Amino acid sequence: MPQKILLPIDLTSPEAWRHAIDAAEDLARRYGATLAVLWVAPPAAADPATLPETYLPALHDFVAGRFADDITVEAHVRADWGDPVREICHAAAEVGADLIVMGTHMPQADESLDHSNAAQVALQAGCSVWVVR
Amino acid sequence: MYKVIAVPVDLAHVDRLTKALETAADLAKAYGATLYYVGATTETPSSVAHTPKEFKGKLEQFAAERGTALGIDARARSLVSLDPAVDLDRDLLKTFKEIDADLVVMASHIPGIKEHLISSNAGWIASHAKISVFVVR
Repeated sequence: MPQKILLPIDLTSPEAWRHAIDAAEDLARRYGATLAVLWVAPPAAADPATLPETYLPALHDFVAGRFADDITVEAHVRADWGDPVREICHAAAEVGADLIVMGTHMPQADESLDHSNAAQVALQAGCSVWVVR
Repeated sequence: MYKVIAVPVDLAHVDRLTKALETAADLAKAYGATLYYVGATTETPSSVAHTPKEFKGKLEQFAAERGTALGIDARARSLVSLDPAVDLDRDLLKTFKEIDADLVVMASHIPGIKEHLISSNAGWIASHAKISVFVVR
């Protein structure tokens, strides 16, 4: 079972990712796995090099408020240049995740697009992928 | 969190599905869920069974053995696909619905066997299922 779980979330709508967050937290606790929380954020800043600095404090706040101390949590930020699937798969390889736990973002609003994002990750990732609904 | 977990299984290549089967069993145990081994066969004889009835028996035996060994509520569900090359993914989705599964655990693919019966597309299932799908690599 997993040793490092990548959990991509969108901090602008964490409620939409609630099931994925719960599932990932539960697995991390159960198997003593590290939870790597990833925010693929839109590059609002003009200089992409400043992106992590821009978004990391908010992500750290979220992580600190959401997860108890009994699991190890990392926070990662990557810029979304229009291909979040690619960013998620790359991030998984980079942090050494053996499982990606991924929600399907707001199924009512954008069903086809987001289903296909999660499904694309399920297809393209080099590790296991749990699409949580 | 999950009550009924489905894991598609190909009795002809169980050895290649070890990780998916282990993951499914592990999660079933963790959540106290029922685990359904879902197998697909055709009307025509295969390497596994001569008839759908024989296939069903073999799958039930497989599930019973696993259930006893793992200490979980394991069941078998066999489906007969008329043209697995075309229909299998849809047939699987329908079966997941029938058994009221809330989580599917499946291997991403089984390498090297093209004519293989369960050449199901985990990506397709992951995008079309209304329930959670755990693609195991």
